[in-house]
Amino acid sequence: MDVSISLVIFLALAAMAIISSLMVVVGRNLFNAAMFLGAYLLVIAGFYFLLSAELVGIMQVFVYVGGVVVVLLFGIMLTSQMINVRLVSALQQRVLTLVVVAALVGLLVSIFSKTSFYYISSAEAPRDSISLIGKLFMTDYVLPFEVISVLLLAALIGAVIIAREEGRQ
Amino acid sequence: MLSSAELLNFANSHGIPLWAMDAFIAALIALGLFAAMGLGFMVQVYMERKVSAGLQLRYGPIYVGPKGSLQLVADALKFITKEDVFPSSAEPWIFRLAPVVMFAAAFLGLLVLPFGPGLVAKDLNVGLIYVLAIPSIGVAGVIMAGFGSKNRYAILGSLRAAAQMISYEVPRSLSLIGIIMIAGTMRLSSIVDGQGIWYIFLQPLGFLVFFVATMAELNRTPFDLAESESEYVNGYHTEYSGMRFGFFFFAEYMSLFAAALLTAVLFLGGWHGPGPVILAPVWLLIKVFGVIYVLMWVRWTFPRFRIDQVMDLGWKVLLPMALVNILVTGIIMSV
Amino acid sequence: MIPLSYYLTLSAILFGIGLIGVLLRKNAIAILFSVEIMLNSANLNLVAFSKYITPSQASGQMFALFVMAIAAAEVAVGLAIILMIYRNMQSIDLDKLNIFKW
Repeated sequence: MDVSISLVIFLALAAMAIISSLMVVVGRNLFNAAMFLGAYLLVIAGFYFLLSAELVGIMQVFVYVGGVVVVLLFGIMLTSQMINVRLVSALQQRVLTLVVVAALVGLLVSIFSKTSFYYISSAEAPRDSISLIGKLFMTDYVLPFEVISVLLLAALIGAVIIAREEGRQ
Repeated sequence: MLSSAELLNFANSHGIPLWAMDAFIAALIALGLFAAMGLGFMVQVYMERKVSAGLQLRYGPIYVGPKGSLQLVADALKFITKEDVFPSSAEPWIFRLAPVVMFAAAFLGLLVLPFGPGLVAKDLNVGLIYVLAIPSIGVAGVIMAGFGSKNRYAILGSLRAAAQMISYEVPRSLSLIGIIMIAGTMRLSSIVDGQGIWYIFLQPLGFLVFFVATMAELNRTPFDLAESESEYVNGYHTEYSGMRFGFFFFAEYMSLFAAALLTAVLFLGGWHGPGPVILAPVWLLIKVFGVIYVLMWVRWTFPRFRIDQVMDLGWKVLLPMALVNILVTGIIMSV
Repeated sequence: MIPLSYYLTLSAILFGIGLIGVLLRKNAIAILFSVEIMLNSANLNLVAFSKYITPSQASGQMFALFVMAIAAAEVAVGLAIILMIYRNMQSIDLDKLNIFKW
């Protein structure tokens, strides 16, 4: 793909990501916010494909859109009385938040624009990044991999115990 | 078929930019796939009616067309001309978007499925995860339909459908890990090429888990808790009528076809069969419709499970079986 | 190739948006959404670095996959806690959760 087309795709995806994430943050209706969160996560998956990280992109769709968003929608429907309740923070807090976040983002962006990344590698990504990732999971990253599996098991059991209704055996 | 080099030459000599060529080819593929799905939809609906009628000692459709084969055309006309009922309390955008999401999820799932050697829209190297991941977007569509209609039956139906679909995604994905281990690839065409012996013989347990979980994913009886008519009218699409319902209907049969095609590709040797290569898609289609027939047979033979039985089957039977399958496959491969 | 700083800038902006959500929203589920936005912007960063700096090692992709697993666990447990709070207090306004104060 030549540069101009991928740049157009990048800018379009970036615009979609920013708009959908803004809709999640400012939207009043939680269900709509969840829809926009799903759109945002799909756009991020699009970025992964653009960065030729197919496995991460498809796992993003699998885990986030198919799992996380659906679970969040469940949560919204089970607390459905809260769906349109307007909870507004104090003005003071809003102003302070905007100032702090603007300062943080401004700082980060100015750093990125001033840094020249010397380490940018010209090496091509390996053709079969999937088998590479599979090998890494079982060799260099085997400890984090095992820790994650224990964490997931703990989360599974913990979520069931917390959410179970009391008084039911 | 034109080769890519010829296409490149054509593009260069006529001054067509490459991206326009790509977009044109992509549109052609999508159109072809859509037409094939439309045809498959008609065949499947006719087949479903005749199979169910045969199993229940009825005739099925007989009036429209020869042996009732044009019944679906009459149905389509009915769908198009029907009044578009819009519930006054529905969430307008979510209600409108839900059938589109379902349809898109089912259609996108077809993109990596091979119809024959080289006959595939996009042969992704993560094809196997793709076909599992993309249809899971459809679960969001189910919840949107239920929530958007603001109807108690629809909400209950969509909650049950979503719970069932998430639960069965786990054993369904795990049952395929054995195949990934044996084939050493997730590209669907390479998996077919590697099947000297059909994987149904190497992975009988995996096949059993996959097949049952597929039935549950498709929301077909005995797992049709999502639209159990005798419990809550029609589940998540209670409020949909006319063309909007038609979208759900089409998406349902598209996912049925995709699931049968996936089963044939993964377990039944894909397009392998005796005869010249030109017969390959024919063999594949025979296998696909064989699988569809078995799915229909099961649907019209067994009664419906209760929701707690469905959950128990998924988590307490299929999931351990899928894990045992991975373990046994690993032990046999390492010995 | 698109400059790396484009990706970094974008992910900084998305991170900022998520941070606004976490700090301003009072609905617990909305805060969970905003945390997901932040996690994903960090993931985007990791994958971009992986592509531009160490394309042959895929370490950024590995970390993105780990973050995804943790995010899934976080959502499951977080949502269970929110449901519990809702059941006990009939509200998911986090500012009302001050029963430990006196």
